[in-house]
Amino acid sequence: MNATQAKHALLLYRPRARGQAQAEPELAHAIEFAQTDGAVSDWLRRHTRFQDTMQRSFRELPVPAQLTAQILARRRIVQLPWWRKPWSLAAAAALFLLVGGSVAHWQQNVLKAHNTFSIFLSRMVGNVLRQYTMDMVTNDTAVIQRYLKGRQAPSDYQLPRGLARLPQIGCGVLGWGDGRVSMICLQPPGESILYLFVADQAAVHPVPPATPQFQQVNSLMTASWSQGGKVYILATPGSRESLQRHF
Amino acid sequence: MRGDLDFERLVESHHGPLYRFALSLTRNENDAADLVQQTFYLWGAKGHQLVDTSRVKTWLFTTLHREFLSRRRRLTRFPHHELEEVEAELPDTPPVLPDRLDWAVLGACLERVDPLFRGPVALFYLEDYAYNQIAEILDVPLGTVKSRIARGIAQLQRMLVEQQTGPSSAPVPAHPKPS
Repeated sequence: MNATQAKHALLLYRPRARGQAQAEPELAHAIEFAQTDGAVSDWLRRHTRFQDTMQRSFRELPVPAQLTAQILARRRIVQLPWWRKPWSLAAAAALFLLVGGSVAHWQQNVLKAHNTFSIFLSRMVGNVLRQYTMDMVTNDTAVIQRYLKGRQAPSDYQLPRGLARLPQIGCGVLGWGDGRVSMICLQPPGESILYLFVADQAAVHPVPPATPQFQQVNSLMTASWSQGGKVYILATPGSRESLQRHF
Repeated sequence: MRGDLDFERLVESHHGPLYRFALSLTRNENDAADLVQQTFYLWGAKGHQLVDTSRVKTWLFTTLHREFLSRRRRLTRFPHHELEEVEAELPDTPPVLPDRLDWAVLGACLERVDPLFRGPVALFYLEDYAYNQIAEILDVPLGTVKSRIARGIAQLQRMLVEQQTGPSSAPVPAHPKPS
């Protein structure tokens, strides 16, 4: 073993990992080599400090304080179909009796409190910001609809007149819970791409009203509305005015 | 099995390491939080299929990584990297660092690390997983995992040395980014 080979092996050395050297003969040889070679020994000392700092830095990355609450909130929402829980029947029956006729009201309040639509909106915007790639690039609306339908994603969407006039340039299918969301990309002439997300109304609560609601989410302007059992989100890096003119 | 597990305690125990892993992969706080939420959502939907309760944490890491990959929609077949390639990336001397790097520095470095290496390197530092566990989580062969960790560490060292001394003439080898 020479110094270069020893360094290669020692790159993976975790000083605090018990038994690592015993389990890996090459590493054990490299440690022995370092004890006889001053330069490698110095290198290993600095490398160990580097490993300590990196490990500490990764392990102490701050976690958002509200993350636990967000996870638990979403869990409560997905728990609503009680029959899907393994321990379900007894607990769900008791819950059902307890809540009785006010289930719908209770459900509405819980959902409102956790505002799942805002999570859905945030997810869809996140998809755009990640420069999500289209599954299919085509200007043919019929091909897009066939593609979406074939993947059990909403394909019978109805667009406002302004949007319906724009050329569609491609599409993709995303997941949301157990369902699918259609993403249709439209290209207004001389403007930024518009990303249209279509989900079944049952997938999100509360649903936005029929009149488009405009909202800035991260760096995107969005419009959200419901129609014909579907929820729509239109997102663009452009301005609110650039969205409004398509309705 | 799920009856034995308190979901809130599960979240409390694992959301931090999962978030840090997700942040290392995505380098974006919103995307990382979203990935963690989706991971626990999937646990809620599919976790009961896991028979061995001792593997919950591995399951969560594996699921988060798969979710990350499925969102990235990898279109490129990744090349296999040999450990010998480390030589080109390893600086002569490891950088001298403060006790802890903040996210601004670490995130900026991860941004420049080959995307293939980020997951292995993050798991290497975040958890005391054995290499075969990391290989299982990332669904790649053992040798590949070791190679990717080594090359990722070498790239990190080189970037941090460059930060301290200015860029060297040889660029960090880049691989095609998955779209």
